[in-house]
Amino acid sequence: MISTNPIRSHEADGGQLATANNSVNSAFSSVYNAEQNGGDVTTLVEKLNTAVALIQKATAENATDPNSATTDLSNATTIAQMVSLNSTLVSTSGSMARQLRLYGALGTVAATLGVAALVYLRGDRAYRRLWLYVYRNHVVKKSDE
Amino acid sequence: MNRKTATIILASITILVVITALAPLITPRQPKYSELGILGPNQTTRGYPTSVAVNQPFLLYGFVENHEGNVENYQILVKLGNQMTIVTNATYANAPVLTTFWHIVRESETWTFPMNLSVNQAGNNTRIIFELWSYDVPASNFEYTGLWDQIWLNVTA
Repeated sequence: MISTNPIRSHEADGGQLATANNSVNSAFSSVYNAEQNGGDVTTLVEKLNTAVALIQKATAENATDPNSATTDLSNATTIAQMVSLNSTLVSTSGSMARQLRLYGALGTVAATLGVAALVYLRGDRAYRRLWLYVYRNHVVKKSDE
Repeated sequence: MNRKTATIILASITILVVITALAPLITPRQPKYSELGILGPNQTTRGYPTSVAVNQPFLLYGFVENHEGNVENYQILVKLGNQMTIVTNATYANAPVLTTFWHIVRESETWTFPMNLSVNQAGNNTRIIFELWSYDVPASNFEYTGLWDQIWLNVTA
């Protein structure tokens, strides 16, 4: 047998350990969805890994120091719940940023097509007017004078 | 410059600007995969233990890389098997889970971690099996990725 104690996240385990595990997995789902919506989840992942580390620490120390283990599991659950809450904000800001990027790109495309159409339709006239303005004082001389 | 040339130049510039504007919105399709590796005590692919005494601690390193295109919730299940234990890319080992390592890994990030292990029963051809599981969000459950690794040990009394 390997001496390290298992984390029984795969079992329908009761008690505080299962609560902490479920909180982390539920928070992960929120983080996953926030990322899918374009949110930056870097900070959320760091916090969630802190919660995971606390669960692993609690599992290791459960036999020797159950009080610390209980505290660690409680802290892990709190962190996971905070991550779940914050991921909603990250998801919303990600969606908004994505929409802004989309609108910005579509605006650029529309403006480019508009300018191109104007240049195509009126470019000649504008060029000639500009030419006449620039060369308004130019005196044409015969080359053989 | 005649009108035809001007039109071609105008059309080219327009297409270029439109493509540049739309490029950030298009995500390139890349193969999605995870990587699992077990490294020796020096974090290289050398120096794996082949023989240990009962309860003698030995150090290995786990190595997981995420290229799934999104954040992943990974668990490595360490199982104790033997010659008869069946494990494939489709089937996980039906063996006791001895310990679990757990970490959330962002896209394109690597998770390298120490594993301090020891075995408390003697036996030849003992297999330490490492399986990579990842959390399936729609199913709300960890699922076997099909990635596994192993080391063989002779555990002496």
